[in-house]
Amino acid sequence: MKWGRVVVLLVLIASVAAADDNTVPETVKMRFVERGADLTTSLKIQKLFDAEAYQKLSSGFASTIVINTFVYPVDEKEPIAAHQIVRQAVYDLWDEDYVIRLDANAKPIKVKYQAEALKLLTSIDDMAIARLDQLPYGDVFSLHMTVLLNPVDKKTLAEVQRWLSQGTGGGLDRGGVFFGSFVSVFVHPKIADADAVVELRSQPFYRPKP
Amino acid sequence: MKRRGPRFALQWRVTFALVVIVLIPFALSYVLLDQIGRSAANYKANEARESIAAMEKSLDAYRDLFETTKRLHADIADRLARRPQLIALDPKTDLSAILDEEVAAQSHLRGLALLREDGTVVIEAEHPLDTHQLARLRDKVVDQPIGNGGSLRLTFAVSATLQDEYQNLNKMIDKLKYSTQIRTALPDGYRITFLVTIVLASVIVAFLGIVMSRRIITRRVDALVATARRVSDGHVDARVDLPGSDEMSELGGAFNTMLDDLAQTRSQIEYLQRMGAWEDVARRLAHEIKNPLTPIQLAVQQIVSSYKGDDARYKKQLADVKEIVEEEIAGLRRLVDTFRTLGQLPKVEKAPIALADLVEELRLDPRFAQKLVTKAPAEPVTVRADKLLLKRVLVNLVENGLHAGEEAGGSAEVVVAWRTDPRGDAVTITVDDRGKGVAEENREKIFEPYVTTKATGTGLGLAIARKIAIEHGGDLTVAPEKPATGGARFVITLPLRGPDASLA
Repeated sequence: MKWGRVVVLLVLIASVAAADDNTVPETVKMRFVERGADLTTSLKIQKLFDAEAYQKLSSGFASTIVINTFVYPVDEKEPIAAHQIVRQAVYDLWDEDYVIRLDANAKPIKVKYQAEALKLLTSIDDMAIARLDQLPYGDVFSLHMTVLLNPVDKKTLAEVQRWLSQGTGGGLDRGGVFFGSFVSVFVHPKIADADAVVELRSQPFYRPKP
Repeated sequence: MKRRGPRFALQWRVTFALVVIVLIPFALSYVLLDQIGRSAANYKANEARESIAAMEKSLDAYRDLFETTKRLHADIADRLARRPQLIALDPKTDLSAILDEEVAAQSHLRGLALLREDGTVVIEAEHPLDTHQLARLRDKVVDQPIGNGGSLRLTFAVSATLQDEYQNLNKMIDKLKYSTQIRTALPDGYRITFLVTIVLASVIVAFLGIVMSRRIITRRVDALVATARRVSDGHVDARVDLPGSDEMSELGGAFNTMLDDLAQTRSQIEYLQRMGAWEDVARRLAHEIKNPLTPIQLAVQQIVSSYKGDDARYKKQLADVKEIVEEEIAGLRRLVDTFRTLGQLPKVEKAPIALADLVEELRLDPRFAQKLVTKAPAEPVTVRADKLLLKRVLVNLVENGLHAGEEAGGSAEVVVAWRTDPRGDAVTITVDDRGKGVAEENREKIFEPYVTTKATGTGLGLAIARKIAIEHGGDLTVAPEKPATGGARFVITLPLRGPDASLA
């Protein structure tokens, strides 16, 4: 009986902790259009830039936006399509204009004003989210979108973490490396994933038969 | 029935002790490590904060450099735009000369162009960059309006890597911030690691403690307890087997020895009790039988002597009756005397006796002189015993041995040997004969009163001999193995140490 209560308590604590980790995505109305072999969407990402982030656009440092899209069949947990787009804006301190790349392979766009840069970064126009052949007619889907502003570079973070917990490694430090690896399992610094995260969910949609 | 305590109490105590032994240094180390971790983290965090502050100042310096350079460029543009020949958009203006002047003034100006209002070039001059400069410099264009609607385009050579350096410095600051945050979290990581290590070590030690205490201690204690319980339940022959060479094995051995001694003592007590009962019976019988013997004998003699007739046949019959009666009465007297002997054994009075001397005295008896072989040890052995009684025992055993040898038809020879045990606690006297030996089923029986294998024996000799041996604190037994003589081996054990008092 006593152990049963303990288990229930642990489950509750775990649930609360899990609830803290999972932010509820905002449902927004999105427009879906079939373009060629792809289904595309267009929308305007709101609430990503606060005043500080907006100011930082003109700092001369790169501002990066990572847009992850996942198409889920309704009531299923595995996405049938996933895409990622990385956007970047850098204010050229010499030429005093904003150099914007809307995708890793896209040509840079130069704009003079900060507001223009913001608009370009947060506007999604005809972005491919899935191939049409992945979306059978009549099936209902929904699009989940996670937008991160200036996400933490995981590689850098891992490198720093390794450097701190493992030392230089080799030689007499090998024992330390082993211990460091063990310690690193339990080191959980409070570093946010990004400067800002916006999670969006589309309304359910389906492909009507032509 | 008594309630038994927790079965694994000892095991758990040993395990608990081991876990505590492990936990104490771990707990102290934990506290120390926690303090060291906090101090180190604070120290490093302060260091990092200072570094970040310094680097942020560097960022400001970079920004100032950009701004200052741009202001300088604007100033140059403004100054040049005021020149009248440029304001006049005079195509004959020597832009190269102006450019050379500025280059000489180290203004990093490398191109000048005079543009009309529609953007077409009136004149231009340029200082091309060499390959080396191209790698590290880039153009920065400043368009400066001039009074008549035209403009002056100035091209400056600026650092191509300055903004990258500026961005890299910012990345370094971010990295340092991450490292500070991670470093702040490190003590917690070490603390959790240490706690996990403590828990793991405790679990391992507890497991080993359970296994080892079970293997080394409790299993054997259980065996000891189980044997003790069996003995208390009446299984006096139960013994414990504790292999090994440690204290527990020694305890097991001592326990078994104690049980052996107890069994022997118990057997001896039972034997003495039986003997006591027989002695009582013998005393009563001796009294009841002996008293009427003389009147019977006298009465018969009177009957025989009172016949005055001359019937030769009747006289002969009377003489035969008298002879028979007297013979039987003599036999009964001998029996009564033996009974009296059993019932009137003298009290043991111990004194030091040299065994070699005692055995040599036996040789003085002509019956034994030629038939007794002695084997004395190199060191003389002295025992505390009643000389007369011990001699009586030896005489009885030697007599029996000679009879057994004669009955077996071989040479009537008896070998008497003695030696002390390796620990010097007791002396063993062996009497070996050349008879047929004693069957296994009779080894105990022959010491019971009135049990004999001889045609003429009373069955009391060995019983008395064993009683004497027991009253000396020793025993008399028949060895299970046959001696070199091929007959029986009787073994007298007498203590050399311990309390003087006998069991009697």
